[in-house]
Amino acid sequence: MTDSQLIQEIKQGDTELYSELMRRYQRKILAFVYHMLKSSHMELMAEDLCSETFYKAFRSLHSFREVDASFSTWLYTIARNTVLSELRKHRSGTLPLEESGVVPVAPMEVAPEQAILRSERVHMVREAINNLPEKQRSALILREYDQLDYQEIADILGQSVSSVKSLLFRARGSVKIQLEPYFYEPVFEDLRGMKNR
Amino acid sequence: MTCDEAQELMETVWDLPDNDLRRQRLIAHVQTCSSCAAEYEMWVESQNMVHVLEHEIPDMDAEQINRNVMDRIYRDFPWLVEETSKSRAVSRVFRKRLTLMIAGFLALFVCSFVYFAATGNQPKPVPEAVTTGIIPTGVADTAQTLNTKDDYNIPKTNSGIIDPFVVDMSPTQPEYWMILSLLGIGFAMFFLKKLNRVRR
Ligand SMILES: [Zn+2]
Repeated sequence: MTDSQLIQEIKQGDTELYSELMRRYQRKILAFVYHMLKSSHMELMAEDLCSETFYKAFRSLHSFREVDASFSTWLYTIARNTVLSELRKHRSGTLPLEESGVVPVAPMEVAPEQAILRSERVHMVREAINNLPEKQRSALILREYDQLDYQEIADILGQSVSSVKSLLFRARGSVKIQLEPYFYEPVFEDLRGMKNR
Repeated sequence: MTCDEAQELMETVWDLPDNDLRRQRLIAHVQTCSSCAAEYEMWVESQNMVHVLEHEIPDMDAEQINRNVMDRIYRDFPWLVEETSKSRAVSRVFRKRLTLMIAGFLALFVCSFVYFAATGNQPKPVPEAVTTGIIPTGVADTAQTLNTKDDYNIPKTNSGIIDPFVVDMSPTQPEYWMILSLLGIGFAMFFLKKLNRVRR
């Protein structure tokens, strides 16, 4: 059954099918929400905001028109708005910017020193992405981790395709400039050695 | 390719497919120019590094999220619980019957159409004599030339009063069955739509 068939059935009263529709996009939305929240050290809220996204989507499912956007693009838009409003809420309140959160878990088979290097590297990249303005960050996450095309990203961000290109171009440039100093450090040299093996 | 061009391309090639000409030209330049090669390597490294985050998502219980959302929906919209079970039970049976009905009428339509095409053609009315307003010339010595056929055939002009439209049809004619089956299909479709709307 295609997405639009499922949506049609759900609109006609077969609510239980929404569970199936969610299953198709859960991983993607969860990953997107996680990356967006992680930059503000709020990733522990990822599951809640993912639920919130799907709940909101169900509530306004009757207003969803396939001609305007695909269901997945529409979902990403809701997810992004949900995350942004949550971030705004916390920015105005008192947000403990503690590092605690979830410590990146390295796969079991990786040796400890490699795990340390890996987590170091993850930390660097995370910081570089954190420092991007929100639109650049969203565009980069949607492009690099969700592999969406320009048009989809443009729909989600409410921008033109050419501004999405320029957002991505600026985001990549800025990430590279931020990571550059690390390229000459021992950590990076070790990583390079690891990678070439 | 000049170094300036290469520098410019480095900023933009990342979304291009591997076999894109610009990308290939850049790689060709990088292989011959050591200063661009260093810069290009940094770009590649930074791109690769961005991807380390791709798999940094802790395992979360997607099914749990799914159940939470469904529970919340049923809690906030209690009438949907009943509607869901009803729509599942009722619609399957009704739809099956309506589909059968449409199929039956369709078959009737096809049969009557075939019958109509094969035998139902009635003789076409003989076209009436064209009215030209010219009276055939009489021949003087034959008295019987002007006969009754020579009276004017005046076409009926629109007098403002429209004759009632009368369809000459009886159940023995294929047209009757064709129209009946079309009506049947129309009715079934209308009912199906109505059923869908009611369940909302
Ligand atoms: Zn060069």
